[in-house]
Amino acid sequence: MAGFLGRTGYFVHETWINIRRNLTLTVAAILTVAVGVMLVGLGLMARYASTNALGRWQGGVQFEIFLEPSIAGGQIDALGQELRNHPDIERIQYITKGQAFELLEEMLVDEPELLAEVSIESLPSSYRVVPRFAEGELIESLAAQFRQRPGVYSVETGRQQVDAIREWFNSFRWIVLLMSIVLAAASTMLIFNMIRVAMFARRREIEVMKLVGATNSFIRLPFILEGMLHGLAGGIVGAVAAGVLRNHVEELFGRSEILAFFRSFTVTSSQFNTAILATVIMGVVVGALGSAFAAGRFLDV
Amino acid sequence: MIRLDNVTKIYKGETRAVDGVSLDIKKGEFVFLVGESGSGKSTMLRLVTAEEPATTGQVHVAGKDLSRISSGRVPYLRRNIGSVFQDFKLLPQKTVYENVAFALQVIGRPKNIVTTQVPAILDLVGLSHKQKSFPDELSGGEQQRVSIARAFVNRPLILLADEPTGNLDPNTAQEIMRLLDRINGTGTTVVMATHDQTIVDQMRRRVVALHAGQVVRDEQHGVYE
Repeated sequence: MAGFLGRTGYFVHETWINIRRNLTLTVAAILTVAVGVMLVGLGLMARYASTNALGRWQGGVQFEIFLEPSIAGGQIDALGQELRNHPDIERIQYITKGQAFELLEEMLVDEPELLAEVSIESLPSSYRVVPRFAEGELIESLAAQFRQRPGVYSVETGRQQVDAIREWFNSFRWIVLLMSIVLAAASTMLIFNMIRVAMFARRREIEVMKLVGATNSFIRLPFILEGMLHGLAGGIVGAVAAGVLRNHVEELFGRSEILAFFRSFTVTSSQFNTAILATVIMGVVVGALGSAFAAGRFLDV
Repeated sequence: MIRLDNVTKIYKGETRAVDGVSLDIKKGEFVFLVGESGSGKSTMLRLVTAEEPATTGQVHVAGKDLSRISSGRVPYLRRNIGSVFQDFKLLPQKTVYENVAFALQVIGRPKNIVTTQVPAILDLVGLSHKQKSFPDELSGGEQQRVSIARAFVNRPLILLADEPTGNLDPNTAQEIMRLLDRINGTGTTVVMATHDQTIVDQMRRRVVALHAGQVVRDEQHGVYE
């Protein structure tokens, strides 16, 4: 242990010399790692955010069963009872003709002449149904079940919208994942090359080290540390960038009315921390992989 | 200390650099390997340091059969062998002291060993006053002395020297030989590949002559030709 501690100074010194020697290459590698892992971080946050948003809509995702205006009171109650007892239904809300008119009044507040055309009696009463799970298929099958009931005028679901959003997010996640894989591969190769150059620059030292009996791991360690350090630096830069971008985007969603829809796309602070940590770790892993490959490949004993 | 049993080394499937050599070098011996360029001297040294594996036959160094030791053990084998070259192989950006200390640091020797051994060995090779100089500030003979100090600082059992006087004038070469002789006097086995007839004839040590990879002469107190 004492020997190892004694050697730590040596490793730190050697690693520092390597980094100083290839400053431009170092910066290029760090920035590539940073962009790559930033995308990983953002992708992860987007994933959390979409899950959170879809989860939140789960409570709100519902369908509405509109009843015939001529439906008898007994039929309304029977239908309500059936809905309440249905295992796939979480809760329901009955909207009377009067409440429907009030909602319409709110919607048409700027168009009183249009409202004047509508009488309370002509509006259908309805049941708003919240299913237990926000699964599009479940909602659709429930809707189909109740569409055929006597006294039901129509059933309207929001499935298409939710599915479209889900699909959009899925493809977004795939694109981000693909881009981060490509960039992670590019960063690994860049670090691989950088370590190769560093080893070439120090080939005389390496030759002497082998000559006097330094072990392979001893020779390789400073180079691997160097790669990991680049990865760590890139990871930190990437994580900071991802954090800044996240704040910026959330602020934008909060401010803009057009983007108000996205307000439910938020990440909790623990999810944010996880994403940031994953970003930094990803950087270190990329650095370690690139340098370990190079150190293993270009050190033949 | 070093034993070769019917060793053959073939490069790239055709060149027979060493061809069926058997040789036994005892502890504390001083052996000259002589022969023209390409006769297999350097290859023999590289077989001993396990830089090259033998194609057939066995190489034993310090009681170890090199064909049986794993690549992970090779560095530990090399700690028993000091190597000196014609071109010195010093690190230009390190001082004399650092060049010698480097050999101890990279095998994980503790700091107190480094700070006592390095000055002692620099004293032995007569370069105490130049420990802060860089290699390019030294003469060829001085550089070779640094390289010998580096090879010997870990007190190896064996010292291999490949044309150590090849780049030096006759007087400086004599100095280097006196130094190698002193090191041999401490019990270290010295094997030196050389073209230098004057030195071989003067020292009167064991001479192993190689030709086309084969031992053509092996004399206890030999001369160059």
